[in-house]
Formats: sequence, C-alpha cells, structure tokens
Amino acid sequence: MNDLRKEINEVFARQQGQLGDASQASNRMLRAATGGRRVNRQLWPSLAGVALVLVAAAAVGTSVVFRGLHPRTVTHGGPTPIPSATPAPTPSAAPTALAQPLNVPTSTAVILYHDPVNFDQIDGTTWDGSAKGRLGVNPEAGNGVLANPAGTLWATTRDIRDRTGQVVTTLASNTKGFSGTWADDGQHYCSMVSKDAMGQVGGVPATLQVTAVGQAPRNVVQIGRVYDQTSAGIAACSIDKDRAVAVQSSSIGTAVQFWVVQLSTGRVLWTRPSGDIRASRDGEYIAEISYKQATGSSSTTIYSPTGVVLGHVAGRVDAFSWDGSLAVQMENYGQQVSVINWRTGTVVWKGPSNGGYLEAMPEPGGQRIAVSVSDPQHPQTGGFPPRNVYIVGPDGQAVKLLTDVM
Amino acid sequence: MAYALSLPSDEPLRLRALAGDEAAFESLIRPLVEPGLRLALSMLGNRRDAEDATQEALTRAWRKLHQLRPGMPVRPWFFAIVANQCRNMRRTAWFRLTSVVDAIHHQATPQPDVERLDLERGLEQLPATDRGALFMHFYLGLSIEEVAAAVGISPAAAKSRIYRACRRLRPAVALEELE
Repeated sequence: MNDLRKEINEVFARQQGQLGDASQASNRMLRAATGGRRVNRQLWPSLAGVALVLVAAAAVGTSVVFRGLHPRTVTHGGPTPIPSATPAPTPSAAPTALAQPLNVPTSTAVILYHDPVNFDQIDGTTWDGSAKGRLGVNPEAGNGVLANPAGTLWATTRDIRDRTGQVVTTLASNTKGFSGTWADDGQHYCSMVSKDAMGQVGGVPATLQVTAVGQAPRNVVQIGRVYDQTSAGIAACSIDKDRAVAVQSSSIGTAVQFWVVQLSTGRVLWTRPSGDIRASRDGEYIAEISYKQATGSSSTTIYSPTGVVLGHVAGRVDAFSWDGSLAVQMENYGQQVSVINWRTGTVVWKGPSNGGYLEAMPEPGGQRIAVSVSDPQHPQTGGFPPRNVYIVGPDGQAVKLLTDVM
Repeated sequence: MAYALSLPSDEPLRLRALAGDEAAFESLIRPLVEPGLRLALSMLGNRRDAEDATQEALTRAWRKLHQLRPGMPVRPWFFAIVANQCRNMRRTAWFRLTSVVDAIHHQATPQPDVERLDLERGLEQLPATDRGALFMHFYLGLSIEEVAAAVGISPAAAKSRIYRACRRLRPAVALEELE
C-alpha cells in the first residue's frame, strides 16, 4: 500500500505542477475579496443612471434545496402543529429513504430537500405537508443548482431542466457563468454573464441576462465589470414588478455595489455601494446589513422601491416573505431566529431557543415562510447540518414540517 | 507534502466571521484556500476550472458560514464545499466540452512509462469524488474521519471508498493495508 500511495502521490504531484506556485493564486483570490471592494468603489462611484453591475452570489436568492449531511432520525409523517417554537421531542424511527414518487401536479409548489437517508435523492413536500415523495430529477441536479420558487424547474450554470432532468433551455455559452436566480413567475431565469476575466487587465464587461424557459437568453443591459475571481449575481428578479436587483460582490461573496434595474428597458432605477444585502423576491425592498466591528454587532437598513430608507432593524435580516411584509431576523447567524413585521417591529414568531438559524424561503405567492434551524439533538457531524423546517404563518402560527432533513 | 492544514479551534475568530467580520473570515479560511485549490485540481483536471470552483466555494463558504457549528473543524467543512462545487461543475456540458479539449491537449504530453501511465489513466477514470477522497487522504494527509466529513459519508464508508478506489488501481491491495 505504501508503494501505491507513493505512486499515486507522484501522479498527483505531477498534475499539481500545472498550478506552479499555488500560493499566488490563493492570495489573488483572497486579495480580490477585500481589494475588489476598494477598487470597485474607486472606479464606480455611485452615479445615478450609470449602468454598471454584477451581483453577489452572496445575495443570490435562497436555494430551495435544503442541504445537510448525516441522517439520524427521520420523520416522514405529516406536519406537527405547534403554536410556538417550543422544542419538541423527536420521535424515533428506522431511517429509510422515501420510496414513493412525489405525486402532485407540476404546478404545485413544493419544498425540496436532500433525503436524510440518501443524500443523492431529492425529495419534495407540499407546503402543507399533505404530499411527500422523491423526485424523478437526476439526483445530481440537487447538488448546488437552483430550483425555481415552486420547485418545478432547475437551473444549472448552463441550462434549465424540468423535474425529470430533461434540458428545456440552454443558457448563454462561451461565458463565465455566475449563480443567477429565478424570477418570481418561475418561468424566467435571471443571471449575470461575462467573458472569462482571468488575466484581463481592467476586467471585462458583464451583462444582465434574462432567459425565458424555452427561449433564447435576452441581454437586458451591460452593467459593471468582472475582475479576476470576483462574483456577480442577482439578488432578486421580478417579472411582475419589471425589475431585478443586480449585485457585484467581492470574492468572498459580500456585496460591493447593487443596482436596481428595470428589466424592460435596462434602465438603472437606483444604485448604491453596499455591504451584504438581501432583497424581497420582487426587488422592491432591500435590506442592507451593516457590521460594526467595534461592537461585533449587526444592524439592517431597509430601503424602499425608490431607494428611500424605510426603517432600521436590529441584527440581520436574512429573508423576506413573498409580499415583503415579514422579515426573517436574528441577532447574528446561528442565533435564535425570529419572524418580524419589519414596519412595526412586531415579533410574529420566535424560533427554538436551542436551534440556530440556517435558511429561510418564502412561500411562492403566499405569506408563509419556511424557516430551517439546526437540531440540537442531532449535531452536525459532516459538511451540512441536519435541520428542522418550520412553516411560519403571518399570524405567528408555526408548523414543524420536516425533521432532520438535509 | 506537508501543508499547514490544521486550523486551530479558534472559536472567537469563527464568531467574529459569523458576525460579518471579513478579516476574521479571511484569517479563518486563508490556510485552506491553497489545499482547496489543489483538491479542485485533482477532481477537475485543469487549472481554470479549479480556480473557478475554488472561488465559488469561497463565496459559498462565506454565505454558509453560519452552518459551521461550534466545534466543527473548518477544514473538512470547507473541503466539502469545494468537492460539491467540483461535482456540480463536472455535470455541465461546458465542462465536458472543455475537458475534451484538455484531454486532447493532455495526450500530446510525453508520458514517462507504461506503468505510471496506467496509474494516471486509472486515476483519471475514477469518479471525481473517489479521486478527491484519495487526494485528500494520500496527498493532503487528511484522516479517514476528515475525508468522511468532507465527502459526506461515514468513516467506514470513506475507508471503503478509498479501498475500492485503490483496488481499481491495483487489484492486489488489501483492506488491512489502508491506514
């Protein structure tokens, strides 16, 4: 074995030779993280009407696939209604992967997740928990690609596929692809594309692109430039409101600047240099999160559709309900989560005190929010934590829909 | 080959990064970028794709930092993100296209000897995740437990996966020989 290990390492070493001094590449990536922010602020002052851009993968919409890792106890039964988030004991059950296919109309919105027993299997459940089952989609498609809000279509960086894994639309070719996001109608995909910026002094231009399922991509506007290893993305895209929020980010994903763009004309409605942002699904409300190093605390400013400050929220806002009226808020990541009415400051629901916040997603066309939190009874042992998923209504009523899914 | 792979359990650093401190995140992740890039290269086979995958993994790591629980080692967590990103990239038609080009180019490179060529081809033919597991265990020196966490399987399954990969490369290898 030692001989084989040595021989294998020799092959790996020869392959690694093409990296040369890899520390240079590593440093370049990290330099872009902070350096990119400074460069962009110098090159792109916040000029109204200037059509520049890119979006941060940091601000890209929530993936509807909840991810996690090792299965423990698995509950595939119906939802457990609870008035508040009092941690409930988890029933024991033999871990088995869901066997039956998801049998709902393709137009029915579902929440998708990795099967707790078989990570490569994608399962879905309706928002009320009345139907659950595995999807026929290629299991690999669930790993890192985005489903539309209703979970009916999937986007990779190069194409769009239906629930069976069949390609229905090819996205831009010969470009550098960034994570995009689905429009609120679930039939358009919005993304930032550019040519490969590697080694291009001064970067290369980037373009906001909208692709209707089954049609060729449409370039909306060229905004901003992409540098080596900086990211670009779409925080929100709305056919309904005719706008998208494009964000340019540093290489570690924090936003540098965002632009609110009218999709039909390509006009920049307003723009702002920024830190981390989250946007409502229609791009009307934008939450800008500021971190104060001195106190180690965060606060959030919420902007109106025209860029006017509407209010401030303590801590971080990480997601909005579909209509933008409710926000998912926590003091800091990993801490107790709340759903609030951000206009009044009213706390609608508080999550479990012993379960750290993980992710949230709004119900398409509805007022409910799916909030996932870690399960303290089943600590994370791998790359992704087991999670419990609560469905929170505008009245504060919450249902624990899924237990220990990934 | 030795790398400074083991991050200290720096909980204050993690908490500062979690609160949004970019400098803390950089400090936390900096020692892992180069080995992450090397892991991506082992799985994807060319530098450009490896850099893109690592960059995307950095972005995702920042976004998913709150999912790194207290006490969780950072290294397998970050490598899991890198490996997943590599698996995702391998599925695109674009990747297959560039891989064909790379393969043609690669074939023009003089090879040292038949045995090594067989091993090299054998490694290329392994599933990317298996190759990544071998790379992490043999080349980067990760323990079986760390490889398991990075790949998302149990330690027993990780050991079995590495063993099976070795058997494909050298059928005579016995499980007991796997450290």
